[in-house]
Amino acid sequence: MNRCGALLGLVLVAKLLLAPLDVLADSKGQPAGEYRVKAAFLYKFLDFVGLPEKAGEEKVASLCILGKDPFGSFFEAVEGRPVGSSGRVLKVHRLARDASAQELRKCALLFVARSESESVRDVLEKVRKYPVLTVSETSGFVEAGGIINLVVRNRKVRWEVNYDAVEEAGLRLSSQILRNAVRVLRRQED
Amino acid sequence: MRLGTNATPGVAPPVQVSCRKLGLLLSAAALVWAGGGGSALAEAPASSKSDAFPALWGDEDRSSEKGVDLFSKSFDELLQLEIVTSTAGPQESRMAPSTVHVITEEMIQRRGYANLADLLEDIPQIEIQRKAIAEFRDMVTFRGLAGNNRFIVMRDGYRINDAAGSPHSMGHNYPLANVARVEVVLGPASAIYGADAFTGVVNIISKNGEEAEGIKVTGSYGRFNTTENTLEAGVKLFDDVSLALTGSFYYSDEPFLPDFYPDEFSWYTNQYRKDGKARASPFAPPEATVDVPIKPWGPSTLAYFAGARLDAGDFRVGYDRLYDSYTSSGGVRPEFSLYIDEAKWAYTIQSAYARHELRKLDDRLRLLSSISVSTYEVAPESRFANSFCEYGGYNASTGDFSGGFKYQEDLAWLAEERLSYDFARWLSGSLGVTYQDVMGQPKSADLYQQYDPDVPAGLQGHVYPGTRVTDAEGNDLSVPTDFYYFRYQNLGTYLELQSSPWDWLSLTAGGRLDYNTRWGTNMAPRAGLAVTPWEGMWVKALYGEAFLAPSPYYAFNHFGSFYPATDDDGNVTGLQSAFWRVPNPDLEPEKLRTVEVNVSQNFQDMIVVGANGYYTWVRDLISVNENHDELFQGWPVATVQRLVNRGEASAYGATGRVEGIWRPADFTVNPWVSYTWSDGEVAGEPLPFNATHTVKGGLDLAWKGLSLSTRVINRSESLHPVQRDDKGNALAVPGSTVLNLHLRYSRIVAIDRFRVSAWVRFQNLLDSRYEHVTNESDQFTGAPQDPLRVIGGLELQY
Repeated sequence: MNRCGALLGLVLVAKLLLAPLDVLADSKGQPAGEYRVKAAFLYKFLDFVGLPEKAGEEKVASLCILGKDPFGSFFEAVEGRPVGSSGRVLKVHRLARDASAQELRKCALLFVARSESESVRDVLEKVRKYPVLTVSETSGFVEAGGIINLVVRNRKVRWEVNYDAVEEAGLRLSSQILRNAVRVLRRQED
Repeated sequence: MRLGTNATPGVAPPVQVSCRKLGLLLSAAALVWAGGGGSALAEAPASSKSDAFPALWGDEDRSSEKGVDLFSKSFDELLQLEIVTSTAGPQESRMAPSTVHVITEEMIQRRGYANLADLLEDIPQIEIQRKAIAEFRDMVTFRGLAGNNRFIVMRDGYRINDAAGSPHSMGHNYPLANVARVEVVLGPASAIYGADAFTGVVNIISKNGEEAEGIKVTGSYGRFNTTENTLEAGVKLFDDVSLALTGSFYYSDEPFLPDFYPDEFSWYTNQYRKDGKARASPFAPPEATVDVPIKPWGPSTLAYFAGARLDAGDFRVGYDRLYDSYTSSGGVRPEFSLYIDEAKWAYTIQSAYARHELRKLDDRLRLLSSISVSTYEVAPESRFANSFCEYGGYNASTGDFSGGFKYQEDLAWLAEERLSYDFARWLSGSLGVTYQDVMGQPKSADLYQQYDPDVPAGLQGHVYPGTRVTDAEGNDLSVPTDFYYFRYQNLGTYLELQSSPWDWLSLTAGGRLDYNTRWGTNMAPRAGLAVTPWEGMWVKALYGEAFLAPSPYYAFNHFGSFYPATDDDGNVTGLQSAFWRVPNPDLEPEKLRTVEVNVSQNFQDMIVVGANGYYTWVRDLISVNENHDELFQGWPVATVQRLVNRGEASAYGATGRVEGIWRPADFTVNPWVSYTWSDGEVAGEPLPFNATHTVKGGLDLAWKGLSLSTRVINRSESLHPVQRDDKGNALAVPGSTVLNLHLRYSRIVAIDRFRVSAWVRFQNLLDSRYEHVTNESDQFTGAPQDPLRVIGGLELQY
């Protein structure tokens, strides 16, 4: 029992000692969190895709997250910031899984979280032929008609692209996105 | 270790004492978390955490708001940025210094895995002998080495099989409801988990309340009056606070085997049901029979699971309770055991944990604190009705039918601190300290009446079977039953370093040192090298050691019975016995070393071709030593068995595996096949419970909401551990081929958030008659297996 008390005491001391360490934080040269990088790419994607203006959404670029949000508060720092040279500012919406088709179609970028993997096809069907850049990180997403699926290759974030879905949505994708895709799906050429 | 026998009257069992201590410790731990975790809770981002063998691979995303503003970086800079790897993906499992199989929620649903045994059965290098063991029903073999106590089962990283190492069943008490994925590690993992991570580790990862948001109810009904039902509910209570609840209930009458295996059950039909006869003993002449009670067929199964998980930022608590009840006559020939409702084995496992994670230095430093407690209790009504316990203590002259009862319980708690640090992008490490306290009462001998956990054992008047005897002079010859108690502590520390100096190379080295008050010190190192010479290609070379604690279950297991000794005139002069298994508290751990090589090539994310080979050495194997003409409790015994550390074993094998996945249009096509060769020796003889050649394969097809999954397992013959032919060779159970099929129609109805799905599952679709290897001399060599089972269900989700 005494040993147990000593052990728990050590835990307490360790936690108190570690508490002030964050002021010394220096992340240069260190690996970054996966979802911080993914969040940054989503922000860039909005600028790299030719997004047509939407009624009532002329001044904002809506980034929607459907399902369980893996990004936490990462977007807080950038919300309201201009998206590239478009003149629009970023607005983040978190949508419940029962979001209506109208809500989904208002999004410039729709991120479908892993928690919605079972209903990916239903979601994509609701925004089919609408100018919504659909992004996910679920295996089979581009085959199901999604536009960009984020993957991790050699510890770096990369993506797969369904080019037919891009055209169907009436979007123009930057060559930088296409060039760095690990796979581009072009069903019409099969 | 403190041991004792025959609990002193008036002294509370040690488990009760320790429960009070545990309450104090939990309070102290709560204060620690409250003090150290307050600031962390406030600053922590909501990231999806993983419980996936955290010490094996490092935790998932560690990002915080502090540090570099990635949004300001250029596109090219982002492209060059390396990330802290996630634990969840297949790429990371390839990097892990182990052979890892990850079964996702999608695969579980599509293939219709209802419980852990169904899932494990499809994994290469794992075999399950179902319904073949009287006490713990299923014998699970990892890489040729059999034993349900030789691997660890965890839920969300916390152990949910008996912490004291008792073997037990793996059925519907481990349901796959509300599960995000299951990770199965083959090979030793004691370098992280300590004792008992001997042949593998299974970790069931559940969904938190936010991931499982909503409610899902599944109800089903099938052949043999079988029903399996689950409830999953998740709710987000506040920002970053969620609650998940999981429940399942299973019941089955089980097949009436005499209808399907009339030859094997001819004794049941012709002698038992008609005349109430059973054979006196497997060691007695066949004509020696005894009268037993005639009762209806009753080997039903009932299992349930209840779990709760509360996530609040970086703090989490969880609770799981599982229960299984099944026949204790499984696999036993009806000549020697009664297939009646009273012959049941039942037990409950409870597990609770609390954990907190502190993250600093832009998440490069993580401190995980956790405390967990678990209990294991065999239900006092558990009993055998076989020849070893006088058929449940049946007295034909009086009609008394009370005997064959067993009891066991233990309580374990574990505190763990793990410090992980990313020194540089190419080097990270983990350092951990664990402290465990385990106490309890090992499995009792056969008892004439149920054990009362609330009364000291010494006051309950238990005596050994066959000793309710008075000699010719009127002396009471009854022998009080010995009850053993154990308590031990284990202090462990582990260190592991992972380095990836280049993209194509990953190195892991580490080890764990344990000091145990029962058996002393153990060191378990491991090392791994993973190379990716080109895109999609992985080569891994691994070395690991492990040790298996000599569980109290084995160290103190004792059973047998006495019968009166008489003089020439038939007067009772004393007691004697034909057989006793006696305890050996001095058992030491079994030790294991494994080397293995894995090669895997991924072609365009569509086809994966892989192969692995392993060689395992085991020393200080615990095996049965048999002596003759000894004394037990002062009376002569003809044959005495005790477990000793004396054997050696080797197991070696290889698996080739091909898996494809295509997703043309709305279709998903997922074929897979593996071939495993497995061989080895134990104490100079071939491995029992082991099929030398095994082919496992399947085809999953999905189109929109419809899915079909077929799975086949083909095994060559397997050898029995103790049954021998006239030449002393182990008897073999013929090989078998079993086909399973699962059909599912998801979202038949989908109105807003309300969805209805339906499924039907066929197990043993071809209605084959086949057998699985048993473990005792009074059993069939091969236990008859279930005929075709069909079950259909509806799933309602909102």
